[in-house]
Order: sequence, then C-alpha cells, then structure tokens
Amino acid sequence: MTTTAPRTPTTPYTYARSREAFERALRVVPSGIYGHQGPAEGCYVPTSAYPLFSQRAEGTRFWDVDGNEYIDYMCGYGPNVLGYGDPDVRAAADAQARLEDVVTIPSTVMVDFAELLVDTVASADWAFFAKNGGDTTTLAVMTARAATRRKKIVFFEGFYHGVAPWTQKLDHPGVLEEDVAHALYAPWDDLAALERLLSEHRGEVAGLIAQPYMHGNFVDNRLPSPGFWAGVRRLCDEHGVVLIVDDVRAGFRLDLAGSDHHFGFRADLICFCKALANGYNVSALCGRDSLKDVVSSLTYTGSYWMSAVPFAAGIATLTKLRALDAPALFDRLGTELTTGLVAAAADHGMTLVTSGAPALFYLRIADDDSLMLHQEWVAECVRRGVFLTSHHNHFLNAALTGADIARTVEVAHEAFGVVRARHPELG
Amino acid sequence: MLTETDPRAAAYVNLYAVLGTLPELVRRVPEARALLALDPRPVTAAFVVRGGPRGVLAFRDGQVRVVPDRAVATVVLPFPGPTAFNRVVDGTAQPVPVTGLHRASFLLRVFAPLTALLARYLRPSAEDLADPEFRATSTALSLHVAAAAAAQVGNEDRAGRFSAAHVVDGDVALEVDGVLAWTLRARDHRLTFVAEPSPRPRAALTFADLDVAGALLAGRVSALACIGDGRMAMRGTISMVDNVNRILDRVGQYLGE
Repeated sequence: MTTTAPRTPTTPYTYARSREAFERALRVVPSGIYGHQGPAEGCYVPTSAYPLFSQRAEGTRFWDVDGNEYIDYMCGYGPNVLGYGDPDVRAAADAQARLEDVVTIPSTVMVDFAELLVDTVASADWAFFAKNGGDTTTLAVMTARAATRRKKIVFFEGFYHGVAPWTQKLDHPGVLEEDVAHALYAPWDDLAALERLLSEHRGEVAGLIAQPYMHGNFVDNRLPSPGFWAGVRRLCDEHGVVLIVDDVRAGFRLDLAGSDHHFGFRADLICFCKALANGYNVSALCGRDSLKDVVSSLTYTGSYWMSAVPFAAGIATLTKLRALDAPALFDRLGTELTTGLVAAAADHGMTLVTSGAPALFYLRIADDDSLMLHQEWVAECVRRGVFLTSHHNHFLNAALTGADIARTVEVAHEAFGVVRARHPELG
Repeated sequence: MLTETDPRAAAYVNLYAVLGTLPELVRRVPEARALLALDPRPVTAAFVVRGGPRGVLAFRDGQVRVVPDRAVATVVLPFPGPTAFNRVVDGTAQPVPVTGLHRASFLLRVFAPLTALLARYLRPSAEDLADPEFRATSTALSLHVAAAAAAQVGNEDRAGRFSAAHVVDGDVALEVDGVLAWTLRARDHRLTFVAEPSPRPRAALTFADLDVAGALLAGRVSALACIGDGRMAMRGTISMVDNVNRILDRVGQYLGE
C-alpha cells in the first residue's frame, strides 16, 4: 500500500502560551506537571516539541492553550472512550447533577451501575466503586490477602498496577523495602517459570495480579500465547491463588465482558477505571460471589467514592459502548490506522512496527535500537497536530472517523519525510 | 528504597569512583601534575580489601591509571575489610603498606597530598567555590565520581543491582552540553563507566551546563523539573535513563550528598 503524500506541508506548531503557563506552574506545582501527563514521565523528547496545557476538548480532538489542534491518540491516557464531551454521557451526568452528586447517603444510581456491570462483565457478581485504578488494584490485593491469609503477590515483569507503595519497586524513592517484601516477579507468558515460582512459594502466595496482556512501556506489547491464560488459571486454582486481572488500561476496549472474557478465562477479581465513564471519575472492582463477603470485611472507603454523577455517566457510557459494539469498532479503526501508518513509513524506506491490540496499539520505528528515530518522528507528528507518544500504548475512542485516520496518516507521512531527510545515513 | 548503605559497596565506590577520579584530577588540575612531578619514578599501589574490591593505581609519566581487579603492585595496601578501607578514604585512618616500603615516601609525598587535593575539589569550601574556574573543575570532578560510582552501585549495591537488572544492553551517554561526554555501558546488567563519549548511545541524559549537573547531584534541584524546563534532556531508550537516575539517587546516599 502506498499512501498519499501531503499536498501542502504543515507548519509546525509553537507553544509560547504553554511555556508561559509552565513557568507559572513550576513556581507552585512540584515539577510543574507531575506524573505521566508531564514532560518528564510523559517522555516529551524533545520537550520543545510538545504542548503542555490543554484548553478544550471535543470528540477525538483537543486544543492546547496556544490554539493548536490535535487528533488525540492518548485519550487522556484512556478515559476518553466515546469522544470528549460525548453528548449522551454528558446529558446523563448533567441530569444526575441536577438531582444530587456527593451526599451523606448514596443514590440508588450506584445500584443501577453495579447491576449493569454485573450484567455486562462476565466475571462480575458484584461491583465495588472507588475513584482511581489504583484504588481498585489495592483493594484487590487486600482482598486476596484477607481471603487466603497469605502475604505474597505475584507480578509479571513489565507490570504497572498504579502508584501505591506495594505496586512500586525496591529502588523507587519513598518506597520501603518492607513495602515490596512480598512481591514475587515472574516473566510474562512463561507458564513453566510461573509454575516454578508458585511451587517454590507453595502456601505463601495470596494473589497473582496481571494486565490481560503485556503493555509495558518502551517495548513492543505482547499478547498472550495460546493457552497461557488457561494455564495461569489452572496454576492459580492448584495453588489456591486469587487471580486478579488489572483491566484498568484495556477494559471495555477489547471486550465489554472484560478482557479475561476476551482471552477465554475467568478472573477472580477484575479492576476497571479508565474507560468506565468516559472521563467522569469512577473506578470499580468486580469479582466472584465467593469473595464478596471478604471485600465487605475490609476497611476501605473514600470521601467521593459514592458520588452519583460518575455513576450516571458510567451507565450512559457502557450503554453506548454496547450499542456501538465498541470493541469491534476499535479493532477496525485501529487496524485501518496502523496499516496506514506502517505504509507511510515504508514509503520513506522506514520500518514501523505495531504491536498489542489495534484498540491500544503500540508503535516503534525499528530502524534503530535506541528509539531516537522514533522519538523524532513522534515529535514531528505532535508538532503537526497528531498527538502520539513515543513510550506508551495508544488509545482509540469511538468519535474517531475515517477522515481523522486519513489526516493522521497524511501527517505521519510528512513527519516520516522530515525525519528521513534529517538522516541521510539511513541510506 | 534502601535507607542504609552497604560497606562493601561503599568500598567499591571509594576505590573505583573516588580514588578512580585521580586520573581525571591529574588531567584537569596543574597542581596535581606538579605533585606527581615531585616523584616521577613509575610506581603502582594496590588496594586489597578482604571481602571487597582489589585494584591498582598506576602512576607513570605524569599520569594515573586505574587497573581493576589486580593486587600485584610496587606498594600493596591490605585492608582487613571494607569498613577499614572506607575509613582510610574518608580520612579517618591511615593505610599501612606491607610491601614496597622503599616507595613508602611516594605515599607520603605524592599520594597523600594528591588525595587531599581531590578531597578539596570534591568537598569544596565556599571560598574555593567563589572562583568560577575552581567551581567548574570541582563540579566536573564530582560528576566524574558520581558517574563512576553509578557503575559500582549498579554492580555491587542491592538496590543498584535491582535497577541495573532493568537496564538493557547498550550505552547511556552522560553529557554536559559542550563540556563533557561520558558513557555508562551496560552489558548483561553489569555497568561499566567509560570517561569517553559513546560512539553509539542507546540513551542519553544531557545537562545544559555544569552548574545544573552539580545542583542535581547535590540534590538542590529536581530532575523532573529540570527536564520540564529544559535544563536537562533525555532521549533514546528512556527506561535506561530512568534506571540510571534511580542508581544516581542511590549514589547520593553513598557519597553523602
């Protein structure tokens, strides 16, 4: 496939107002913008190529404070699943807001949302709501420990389950050795290694927590081999280990019934957040009936965890995702997009590798092993209105159109040309 | 995050990073070269630490060279354990040679003043720092110690090894724009410091100037804030930079920053 070269070169963006705002932020906010949405953890290479502050968002686009427009393939790192400001979700949230939101006792809309999740998610017999994905992964691990009266938790290397101390590592600042003393690490997609680990720690392992496939940063994402998850399920059963699926990132983009359902197994506990309410702030831990009373016994709550507006938004989001058959839509859109991007690279004699599920595609230029070429290309795309990242998987939303994809490929083509011209050594 | 340091790892840092910066001191500071000129005869000094590192400093033709993992030398300085060696490097104890007594004068006339000069640059007084040239040299030498220590901590410290286990093979370039370029080389999760530019870095951490580098090593500024405002930059396989940064954090515990 040969893509169409752009007719008129795009003028690269500039970011004077973003920079001004960042200067202000540096004075009053640690590191200006902390965390994954900032220039350091967000891997803005070079930082000068990226906007730092957004002003408004609609559909599949956002506009930065300098007025630059972007087709957004990060979707707020996942929450934007239907399109920013989706009218149906907004209407449901607004209607609930006119009634109540944070009140002394909860609204029955919480029950409505829990019922919808139980009806939708294959492994859900109940739902417990919180705010962030990390709230639910922490609750899942506490539940596993309470249920088994064991200490150790198995992680697959390359994992990310939030930022609570137990999810971090021995060499992370502020994390004590005791916080991670009961973490065990197994290689991804290696059943024999997992079996050895569980045997070495027989009777000690409370839970195994994993994302449905390996979507680590800086590396090609890896889907599970056939039979892997069935094998993990079997080993967990044999060793009395609670199997926790962290579906915070992939949830509802692969399969509305849960990513465990997508890969043909059933989790004991499954964590949701990002795509749950199209940007309204709610997360959920769902699980088997046998663990419901265990969760009930835990001391775990928060000031905003029963706010009603996000529940209403969540109901509208899941209802619309179901109506759209969103996972199939994302698979189609992602395949069309990544096929176009790969072809655009090939037009310039470069090799772009795509990995992971099309709905959460990961990109890497394979013409060097340092990611430097890739970072250059991503930066040139961003400066021309296509927001990608160089280190992380991407996200699709249902507002993305064929025209958006065509424009994306056009920009990508131009960006490949810019990088190619800068590197005559590529031959 | 480990809250305590390991004397054995500290001994590796002291031998290969602190004393290992003597060649750089001699390259940069005329006063150091003048000290070497006091006794120009070739001499080697072996530091042999029971349960710790062993290595040789070779002095010849006005230059110093570090020979790792070697115990044969003109003057051999044995230490019963890492803590005893660390006390000597800290200046709270004196080494006692068991061989090469005929060259003991070199230790007193050249080596001791040389290490004292290094200490002056690594722990500068406010008065010394008022001199821009001294400050620049002091920062460069401190950076050299930190970069060399990163390799030792990555190989010998428990937290450092944990970080190094997540570093893929390849070179991490450590650069100060227009001033210096060094390399931290990873192979099978073992790190080597090379005081030369990498021919083909897989990742790079670049400081805008020596002052930024010095401030970061002293813990006066945040790496994340510096990346945001452009005083630092990273490129390439950022996971390598992330893990090197974690090791550099740990290095600060060893160097007392």
